[in-house]
Amino acid sequence: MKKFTLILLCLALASTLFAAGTTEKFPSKQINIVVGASAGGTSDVVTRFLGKEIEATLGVPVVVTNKPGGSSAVAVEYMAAQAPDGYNLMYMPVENAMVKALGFTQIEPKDISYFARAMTLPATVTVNANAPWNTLADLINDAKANPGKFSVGNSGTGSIWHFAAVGIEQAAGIKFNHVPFDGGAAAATAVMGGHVDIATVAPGEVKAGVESGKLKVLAIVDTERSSLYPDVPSFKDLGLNVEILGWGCFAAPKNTPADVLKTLEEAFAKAIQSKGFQDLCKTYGLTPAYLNAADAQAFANSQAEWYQKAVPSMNLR
Amino acid sequence: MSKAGIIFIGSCIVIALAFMIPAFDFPGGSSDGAPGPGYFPVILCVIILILSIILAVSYLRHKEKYFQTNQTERNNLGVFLITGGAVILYTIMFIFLPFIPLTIAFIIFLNRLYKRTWKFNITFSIAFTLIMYVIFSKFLHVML
Amino acid sequence: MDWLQAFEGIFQPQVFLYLLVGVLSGALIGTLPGLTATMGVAVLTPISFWLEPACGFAMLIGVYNSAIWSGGISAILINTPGTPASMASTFDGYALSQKGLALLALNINTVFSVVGGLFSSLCLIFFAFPLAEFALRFGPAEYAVVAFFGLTMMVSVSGSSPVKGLLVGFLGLLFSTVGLDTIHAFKRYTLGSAQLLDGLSFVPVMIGLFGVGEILYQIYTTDHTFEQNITDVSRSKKFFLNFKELKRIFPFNLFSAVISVIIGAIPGAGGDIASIISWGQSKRMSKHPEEYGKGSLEGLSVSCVSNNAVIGGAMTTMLSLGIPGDAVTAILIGSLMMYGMNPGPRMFVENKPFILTLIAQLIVANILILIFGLTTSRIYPRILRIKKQTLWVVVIMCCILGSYAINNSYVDLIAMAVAGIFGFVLRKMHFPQGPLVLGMLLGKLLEANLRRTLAVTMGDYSIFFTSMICIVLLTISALSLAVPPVIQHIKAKKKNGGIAP
Repeated sequence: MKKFTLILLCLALASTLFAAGTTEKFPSKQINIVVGASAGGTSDVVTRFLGKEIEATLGVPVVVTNKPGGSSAVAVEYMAAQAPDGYNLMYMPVENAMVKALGFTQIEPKDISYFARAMTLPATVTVNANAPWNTLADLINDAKANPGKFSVGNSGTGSIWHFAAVGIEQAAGIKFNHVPFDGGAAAATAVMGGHVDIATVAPGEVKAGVESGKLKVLAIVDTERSSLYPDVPSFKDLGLNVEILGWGCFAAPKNTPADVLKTLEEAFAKAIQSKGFQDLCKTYGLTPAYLNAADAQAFANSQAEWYQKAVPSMNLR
Repeated sequence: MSKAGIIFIGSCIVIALAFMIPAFDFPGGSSDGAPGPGYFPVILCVIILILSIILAVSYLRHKEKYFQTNQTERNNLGVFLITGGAVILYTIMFIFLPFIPLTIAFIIFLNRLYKRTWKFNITFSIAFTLIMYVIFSKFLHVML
Repeated sequence: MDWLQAFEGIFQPQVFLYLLVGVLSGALIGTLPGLTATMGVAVLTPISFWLEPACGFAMLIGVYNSAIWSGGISAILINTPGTPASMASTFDGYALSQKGLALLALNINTVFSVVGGLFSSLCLIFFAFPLAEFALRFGPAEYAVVAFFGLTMMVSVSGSSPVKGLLVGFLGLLFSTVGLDTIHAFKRYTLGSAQLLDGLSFVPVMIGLFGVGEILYQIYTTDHTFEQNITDVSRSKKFFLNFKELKRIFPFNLFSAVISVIIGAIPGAGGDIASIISWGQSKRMSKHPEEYGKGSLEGLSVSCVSNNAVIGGAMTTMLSLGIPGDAVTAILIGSLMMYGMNPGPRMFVENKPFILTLIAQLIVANILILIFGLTTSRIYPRILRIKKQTLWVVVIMCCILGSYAINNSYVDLIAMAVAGIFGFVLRKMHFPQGPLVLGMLLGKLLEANLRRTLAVTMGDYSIFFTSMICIVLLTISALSLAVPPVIQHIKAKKKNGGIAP
């Protein structure tokens, strides 16, 4: 009899626990956001900032962890294997649309639930302040006369800024000598020191150099001008069309319940549209570009398709 | 020449070959003259092979003993091997099992191996695991 | 007068308090192997945003300086570098503490770290712009030559047998080729796993080789009855060097401080490289190179000076050009931008008071480290009096968790464990472990920059003989490789000549 009561008691306890588990309102515990890049970079800064904002909205601790490696392939493989309960999220940079095309991992945007896009960021065409070119046209004409002579620093072979340089080549019908560096800041530094001629990296990465008068930005590879350099023409202004942009989204593992995604979507929408985030974007030269869950997913899928076709044709090696 | 010396130099040669053979199949340098991904590993492997041979020759000449053991060390061999194995096993299990129970079990095992009293063993293992857990997981936000 | 205000600012109770908090948490983080200065700064950055800029930055500066200093403590006591920058401190520091001079070694670490830190702060005050301009002249070719110069230190780190050291060192270089190749993004030896795309990181390997390797060695060689084994390893009461010793080691320290500030200013080269280069170069210039690695006071002091002197150099490039020299300064730039400041030359105009405050904080942080370090140095050696078995378990666990904590990566963990066993084998067979880590540290730097140079010049090697920096560094490398054996040869000849009838 005693045994029976004990079993009954255990069952009762288990069922209450189980019930609590299912009916519990999301979120009820710490949320983790993984960033596939090292601390201190744009991805990290954006995620930590938004993490703090949604912490206030959702009322649970939000912890950002860095899991760098393989253009974020390591982090995405980790995340795709997590429980789809909404407590494990990830920052998805543009690289996520290309890691499959580059052969780093088999996981593509289709295998993940995107629920928000936060911002986009364009490449700049930056040269040393003492360079003979003052406009993009000067540079393009000179490059046409000397194919393959000018070296372009990018943030690594197969990185977004490498694609940007290749895109410029194709749009303008010129040929550069591509030199990969460890990240955009290193490429910008090499231009400052005169070791390479051009850098196609993010506006924020050349900001200090421009301010110190060591670098000049010739153009922004985007349809709009950059908030950091309102006087510099965009590619659209110059009549060129290169649609290669960096971007940042947030995502959860596939099969995360719809209501959980909804909560996250709303919290992130609020954070991304907050004044604080807009200011942050201004400081770092990012373009705030919120998209809701459905649009972000569609956007990421289309980007992945684009890179799947573009990578082989760009002949990166 | 001692057995350990042969094994060590042999493994260096095996490692060098294991890295060198695939390196020949890596794509060549780009058209602009920059060497390809295989360039550096092949050079390194060749140097390692040369150094291994030099060392092997000097071993043979001097007949040095490179892995001398004494009585204490022979007595400790078991404990040593188990510790090494346990560390490897723990790091592999770390991927699959939850941190706290695994770590408590690991520390209890090590303490038992080093012949600590049960009382000390249990208290220390639990307390130390929890302290580490708090420092790393709560304070440093490591994903345990 | 600005200066006066800057220092006054520091002694506002809350700024001072946060500086102290930073120094104390840095001491904890630095001492635990695997928890690097980068990690300490990254963890405290979000907290610092709640605070006023001066307070928040005080905390970060405190952590940064203190973690680099306290990395030496674990290097000295348990042969495991607490941060990569203190790798060279293990060579002599651990040997000294084995001789019972732990207290002396710890105080050398404290005092000389502070000397390095203060020296580099002075450089930051007086030479910020020239130094930064000089650092910009380092392009791919110059980096490749710096890495090559660093590799020539393999011979110095090798101890008695250069061939053994070179073999191990080249293995390290070979292991550094695992992962995506930095120039063509080609996957090398990744076994089809995304985990290996970034290669084997050198910090876990270093922790394994020195930390776990040493523990396994102790387990294997000490008598487990532990009866005669309770040696009072902290027996010596010698507190610090005397004047004569100080005078002897002074020139080496000055030299190391200067090169470390320069290395720190070059983006991408940090305390780990600087301290190895200082140590190796001092050994070559020393009258007693044979003492290096066996408890040389010179050797320990130069490695301590140099890893802290790097901080001022790195801050110089960060503040005057806005370029992040390493991971820590990248995070610091991020937080400066969060405070609405623009690291770069404009900051010296727009936020001059803040720059002065920052330098004042650097100086005061170093003074706090000095006081804290010297007052607590008697406590730390007691770690050595803990029962050996307890220490083993604690160190093994710290090494495991520390190497996992760096990147939250399982590959790092397993690499650490394997490196631990490999470290034991090397130790037992009298192979040096230092060159392996050196190879892994410099391999990527050398290969990527060599190939990057050739990509820029389109396969033309002549740049290595036209750039002034390259010529100077290559000449020094060649001399430092060739001169010591020649001198030894001459000495040996003289000796023989004297004995021969």
